[in-house]
Amino acid sequence: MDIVGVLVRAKPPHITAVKAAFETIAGLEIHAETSEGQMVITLDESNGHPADTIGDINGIEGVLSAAMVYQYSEEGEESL
Amino acid sequence: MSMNRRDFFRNSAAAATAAVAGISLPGGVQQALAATESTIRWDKAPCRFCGTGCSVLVGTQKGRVVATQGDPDAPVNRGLNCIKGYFLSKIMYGKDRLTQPLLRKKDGKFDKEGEFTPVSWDEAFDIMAEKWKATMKEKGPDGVSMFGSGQWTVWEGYAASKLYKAGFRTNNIDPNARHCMASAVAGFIRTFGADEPMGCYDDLEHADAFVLWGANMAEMHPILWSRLTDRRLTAPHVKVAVLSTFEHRCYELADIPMIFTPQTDLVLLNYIANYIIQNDAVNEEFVSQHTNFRRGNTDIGYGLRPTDPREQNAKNAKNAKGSQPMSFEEFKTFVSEYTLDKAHEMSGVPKDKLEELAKLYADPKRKVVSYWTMGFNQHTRGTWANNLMYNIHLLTGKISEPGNGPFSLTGQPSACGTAREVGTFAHRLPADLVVMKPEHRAFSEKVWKLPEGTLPGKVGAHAVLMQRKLKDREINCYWQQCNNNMQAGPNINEEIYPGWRDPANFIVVSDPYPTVSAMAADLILPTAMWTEKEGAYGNAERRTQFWRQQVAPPGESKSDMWQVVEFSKRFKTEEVWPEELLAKMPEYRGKTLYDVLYANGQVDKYPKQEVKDERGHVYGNHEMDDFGFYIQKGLFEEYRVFGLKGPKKGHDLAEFDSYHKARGLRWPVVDGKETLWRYREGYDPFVAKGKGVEFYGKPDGKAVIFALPYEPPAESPDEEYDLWLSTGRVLEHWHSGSMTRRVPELYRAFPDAVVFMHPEDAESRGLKRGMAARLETRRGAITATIETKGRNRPPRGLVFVPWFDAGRLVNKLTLDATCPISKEADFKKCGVKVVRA
Repeated sequence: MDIVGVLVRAKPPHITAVKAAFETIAGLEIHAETSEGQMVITLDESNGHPADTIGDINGIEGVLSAAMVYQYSEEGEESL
Repeated sequence: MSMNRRDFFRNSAAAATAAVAGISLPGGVQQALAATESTIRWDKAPCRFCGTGCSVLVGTQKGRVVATQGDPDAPVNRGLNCIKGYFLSKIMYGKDRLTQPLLRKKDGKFDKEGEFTPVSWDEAFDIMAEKWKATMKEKGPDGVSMFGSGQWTVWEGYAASKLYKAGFRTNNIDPNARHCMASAVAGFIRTFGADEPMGCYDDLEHADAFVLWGANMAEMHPILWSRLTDRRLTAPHVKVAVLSTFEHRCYELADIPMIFTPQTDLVLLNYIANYIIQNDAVNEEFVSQHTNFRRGNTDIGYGLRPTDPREQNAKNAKNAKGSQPMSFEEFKTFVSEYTLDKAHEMSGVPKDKLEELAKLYADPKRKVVSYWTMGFNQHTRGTWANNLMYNIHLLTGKISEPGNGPFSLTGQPSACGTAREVGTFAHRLPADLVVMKPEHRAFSEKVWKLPEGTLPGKVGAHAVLMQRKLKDREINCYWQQCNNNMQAGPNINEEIYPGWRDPANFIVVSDPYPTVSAMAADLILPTAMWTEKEGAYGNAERRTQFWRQQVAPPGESKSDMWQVVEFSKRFKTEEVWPEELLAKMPEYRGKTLYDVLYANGQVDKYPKQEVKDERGHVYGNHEMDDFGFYIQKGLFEEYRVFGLKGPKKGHDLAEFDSYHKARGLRWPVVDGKETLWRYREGYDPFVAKGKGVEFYGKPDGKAVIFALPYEPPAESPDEEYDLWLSTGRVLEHWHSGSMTRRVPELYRAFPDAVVFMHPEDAESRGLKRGMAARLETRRGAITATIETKGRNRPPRGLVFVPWFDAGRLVNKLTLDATCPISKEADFKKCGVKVVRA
């Protein structure tokens, strides 16, 4: 299991386009957003590797920064 | 309701992220975070990677680091981390981690051509001591050397420096920080008489303009870049100017984007000074009260071997640092030749952009911060570039106050805290003292309780010279810790590899992983990394940060400090010190260097204790277990005396224990209070009352404005090698990739180094994006894939190659030319030819 929480800052005029791009990324979930272009997202490894995805996010036009806040990883999976 | 474990951690991740941004989420943020507290132990540590000094919370479960999060209480990063921080929990768990010493052996004995064979620490130290003693007997102390690191913890650097300078009595110890910010050091010392920036990261929220000179902050300092971005987007009057020799990620935010021809930054800096004078924008009161003018020596060579014609033809190669006083009027005449026309013609930057840039600095109402990293520092005139930058801030008085100042960013987590402040350079001692000054040596000998005359006054071999001396068999023993110089150093083929594999030399590399360096060594020592030991780093804004050991090191690996201190037990004073020295302190006869340097009543002053946090968690400390006293505390408290009582004022550090509580403190720390802006009354307690501003690193309290011209680089493109080659880093990998390349995910994010090239340059060579190309210089060749799109977009005539890839050692191509003053190599400029592979 590999989970990350990422804070994205996008240029406000590009928010809609950035969100559209996010919809094509499996394992990406948008939890909150602000009108200034900040977005709280989580990623897991269902689209391969989070680092690749973060690289992709950085490359989306209009994204100014994608900063990691939280990361958890462990081998295997079990319920709480 | 049962929540599966994945949902639980996804919610935790969202909650932590939202909390940092001040965004409220439906559901209880705090509950989610509090719930993880029961299964994961969280404790703070500075990030292992760059010089920003972000604080992270490290989550440990069952003796293993499983999670990290940006530390919400950290003033530097305010809960954020960059992609490299994300991989912190994984760097210690690479599959090829080294866990025992490995010696090249054949038929049970050391053999230079033997296979790496596991040995005990005892056997490892036996062979090392044998080689060290034999070499010192034959060649004297200067036959041995050490190459350390800006990633060493404060006490690792301190212990190593003490062993070499005081124990072995040689100054042949230098850090890899020489490759990184030696030019910044030399610039600070030359202009201000004291190292390190006057300002701090708080400037990011106060400036009205930011100018990036050869710094790709978006990729190399992403957290500072996000603070800068926030300032730019929330204060519309703020301007961002970006200068580089190729377009990179920072250009997306640039109001004034500029691409200049390599080396002409020297022209641009002089042009701005000229503009300021011509347009009556000089802050005359500041300049007359707080500065002097000097004309620096010119034609100073390129730090190459003395046999190189470029050295032989240089008039001042032997007196590169010299300068003579001059007047303001003379300075004005000196810079007057750097007109707008000339600056435009030489640099290729459009005139309107140049004027816009100059006006940012000249406008008295606009607060400006200048940032730079390797573009200025890795430069054959790196010290000059730093001096010229200070000229602009001094002429306008835009310095040492919130939002105004020049600021050199660092690439390593403790380039400042260890390499510079502890003074692990070939010419330095702690707290800005230098080996050349008898009074500085005398003070150090007193603190260290050593006989007078113990410390050598001759400057040791710097990074590049050390490799040349190994090749020339002047140095025969070399110990490298915490860096990967066989990949990071310049001109590997000609100047590094031959010395390492010469049977006359014995090469030791301490590393957690089998790096290119480790594989080229004779003995590999397994190193405990990051939170496998208690540590301290100092970041670029003078902030000292501590952490506790979170997990035990794997196998037999031990910290670099443990290795150095343990090795000292192998030497009796009689074996390394002459009789006349021992006669001054006969009580040291028969003692080991361990007794004299570490069990000296100071370093071993603090008994073994339990390391406990405020919440009652107990932490390990493998060095304390082995030595039987709190050695980190003892080393730090002894080191601290240099700042408190040393001849150079303004270097005070707080007590050891206070750093375990604080999110770092910026020195000088006086009465528990940190200093945000140095040299300015009201902020810096060392400025005399009524002075306003005092550059107290200089005896007269005045900074120096230097007249220094443009001079060409050591090597420029010609008919055969027709392109500029610049090397550098990328966001996902840190330096040589020894740690980040161990993480499979990150490996895929940027699998192999590519050649960033202009599409027309590719086309004219019959190359297309994705094709393999051969890169060739006068020194070597590599192959790599052509990239004509993507994040870095060079202009025609220049290619950029990252250096993280051990499979493509771009430093086989680079030239070992250095700034003759700072001795830092220029990794940004040489001639290269690119052809189809």
